[in-house]
Amino acid sequence: MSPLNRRAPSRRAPSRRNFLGLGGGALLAGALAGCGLGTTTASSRARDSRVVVGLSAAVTTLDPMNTTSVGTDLSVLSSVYSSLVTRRPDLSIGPDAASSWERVEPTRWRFRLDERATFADGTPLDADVVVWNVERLLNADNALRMTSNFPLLSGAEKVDATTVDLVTSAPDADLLGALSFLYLLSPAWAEANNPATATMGSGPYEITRYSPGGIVELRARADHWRGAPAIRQVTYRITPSAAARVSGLLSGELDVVAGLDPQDLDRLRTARDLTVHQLDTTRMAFIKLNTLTGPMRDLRVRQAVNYAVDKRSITESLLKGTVEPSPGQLLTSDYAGYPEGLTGYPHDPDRARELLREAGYGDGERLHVELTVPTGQYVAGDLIVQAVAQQLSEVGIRADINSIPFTVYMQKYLVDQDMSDMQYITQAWPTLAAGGLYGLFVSDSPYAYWDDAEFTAAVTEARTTEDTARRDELYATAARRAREQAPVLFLFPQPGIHAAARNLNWRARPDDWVRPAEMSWKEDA
Amino acid sequence: MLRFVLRHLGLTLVAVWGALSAVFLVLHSSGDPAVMMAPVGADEDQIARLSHALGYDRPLAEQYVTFFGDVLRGDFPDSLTFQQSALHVVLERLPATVTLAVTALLIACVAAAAAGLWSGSREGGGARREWPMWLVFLAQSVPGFYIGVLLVWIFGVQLRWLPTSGSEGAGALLLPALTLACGVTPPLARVFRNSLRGELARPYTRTGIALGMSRARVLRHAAHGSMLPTITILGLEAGALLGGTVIVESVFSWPGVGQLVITALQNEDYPLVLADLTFLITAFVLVNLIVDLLYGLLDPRVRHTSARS
Repeated sequence: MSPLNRRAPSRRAPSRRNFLGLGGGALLAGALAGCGLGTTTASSRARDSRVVVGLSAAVTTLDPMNTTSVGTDLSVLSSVYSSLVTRRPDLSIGPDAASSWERVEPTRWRFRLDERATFADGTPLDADVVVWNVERLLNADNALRMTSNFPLLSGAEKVDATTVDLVTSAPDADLLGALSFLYLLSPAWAEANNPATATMGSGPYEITRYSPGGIVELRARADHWRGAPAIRQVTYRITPSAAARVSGLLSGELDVVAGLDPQDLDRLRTARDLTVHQLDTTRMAFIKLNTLTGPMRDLRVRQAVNYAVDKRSITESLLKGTVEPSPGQLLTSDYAGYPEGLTGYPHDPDRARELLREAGYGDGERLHVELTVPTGQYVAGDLIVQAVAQQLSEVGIRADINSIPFTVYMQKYLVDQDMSDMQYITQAWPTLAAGGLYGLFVSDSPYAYWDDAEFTAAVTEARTTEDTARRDELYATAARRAREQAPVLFLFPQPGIHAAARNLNWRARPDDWVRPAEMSWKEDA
Repeated sequence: MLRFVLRHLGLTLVAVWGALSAVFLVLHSSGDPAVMMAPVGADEDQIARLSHALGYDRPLAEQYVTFFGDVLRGDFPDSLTFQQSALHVVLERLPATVTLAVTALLIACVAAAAAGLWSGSREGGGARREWPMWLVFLAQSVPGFYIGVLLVWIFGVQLRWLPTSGSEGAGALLLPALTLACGVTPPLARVFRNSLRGELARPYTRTGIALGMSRARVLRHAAHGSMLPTITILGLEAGALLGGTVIVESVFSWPGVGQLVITALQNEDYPLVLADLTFLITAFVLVNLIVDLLYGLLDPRVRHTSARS
């Protein structure tokens, strides 16, 4: 019994009023602050030629030679630096700092530099700059992550001030594609500064604000040698959670977001001021089969699992029809060297059961395999694996799903060379060279788990073949061999789902680049 | 008093060291980060070279000694992903988290005090007295991340009053701070209300009223008496609040140390995880130290007992 209630209950205690007043005041202040500092709208940004891009992961380094993350680090840095050649939105190779190029010998490429090309501090981008950058890339002591994209490059030689030769140890059909990843630093600047934390490039933008893992802001260089880009200001917002990316788009705070989940498609499609882009990425999803040991050594078993799974039902339900099943290929159609004309394994459970019986797994003995998936690493990976296991069980294969963290998965796969019978994986080769992605399947690769002389011979020869007709023929041989030998359970390309403000001109790319220089606001915005 | 502080500081160091050792051992037994860092297509030799360059091929005991040697000198190893001092990366993120946590704590204290005073000092009718506690109960039963998503949906997407993510301006602070406060307010409010009711039922209150003290003064004395249990809960909840920042910062893309620790774990960036956790653990332990000290200040019995012991 509190003695206080003897007082008239209507009379307020002063101290309580103080507390309530304080609480109300704080809320009011917050609300006022909120109104004053609310969101900017897409139309006001259009007037300022400004875009806000949502990134799914943080920008981790500003050194363009020490990262291979296209969707984040490299997309930002491609605005600040230039490369000799660039990959255009239609995936063809076009000029950047080099205005023209030719192959003067099988192992020697000659590049003529654009005479206007200069760095932001006014120093020219000349042959010496290219030579210095190639030396930096190839110096093993620097341990740069980009280096492995240039397995055949052996050096650069200055011809005159604006002409430079790149020399390879063997004919390299993929050199141009790789060079579109080689962003050029200014030697004098790089020796006086840390390129991991600062930038000074010859690209159309400069970085005005950067905190590691946090916000990044760009401003267009009005004096750029190629002319200033349409978008004058770019803000990158780091939004690791998928829900935050979607609500940022729906509330109009983000103008461009790449890499959305198929589950969010319906919600995004109903939003009036958004355009949703969906396309096949250059990343192929499949279930890798360990052909070196265990039941998957048997070709009949590998083919049986391919017949057992209804790929289309998975793309239609889990991936909302965003992609088509692969026609029995390891490559997507964007790769140089992609052979046409193959067909995938049809969904044929009877054929699968028959093959399994031939392999000795009849009514008595049931095939029992382990199917590994890294948790949270790939778009809808866990769901896809469950659907596959369900369909395998219908032909009498018991697949135990093993979900493990990506690090443990990679350790088993690459270092311990102890891959399970089946594992879900997606693979891509950033330079879009068939030889690069196929290189992950040749006999001596730690990624392969497949020892096939015919496939390996075709790929090895194709990688150094100059004659494109002959090269395509070799890659077609390799593709047919892979289709027939089934070192994987063929699935589908990973879907790329991107969204942008409706009045922003921008074409989403299958190779993950998001470049502000390729954007502009529509006139009536 | 000095001995009291020194003893607690000593215990704080032991707690930080123990927690960090546990994290270190768990991290280093979960795989070699060189595997994650190597680009696709790298062969075993390249991975082995990278692992060697980073020192992850050395015996665990040696790595442990090196790491703590570096930390004691204040020289944290470089972050693997950011390629700069992990300490620097964490320090850059720290103000954002401190701002968020302090704002959330202030909101929680004000809300808990208001709800506790209303329900604790009022007698009679159920709903009239207890409605603030019902609200508080509701806030506690809904998971924090769900409240966050709900707030974003209402105020960000539908009404477009407040930004849904980021850290630009005070408007961006409000939703994450409110979300975080929702988790801390309920226990605070309930403990404060219950102890307030307890204090008001004690003889000294009756005496005060009999002597003609004003209602406000009586309440003030009772509130002061209720501070001890409330402060204890505040200390515990401030620790939970630090854990809560990990989720809330991810939901609202708030660029603080909570979000950083998730990124670091995903990238297998061991030095960064350790530097980040050093701060979270130290903050947790320090908050508890402050609570212990406050306890000593508010309750002379504690101070005197520990000084004698």
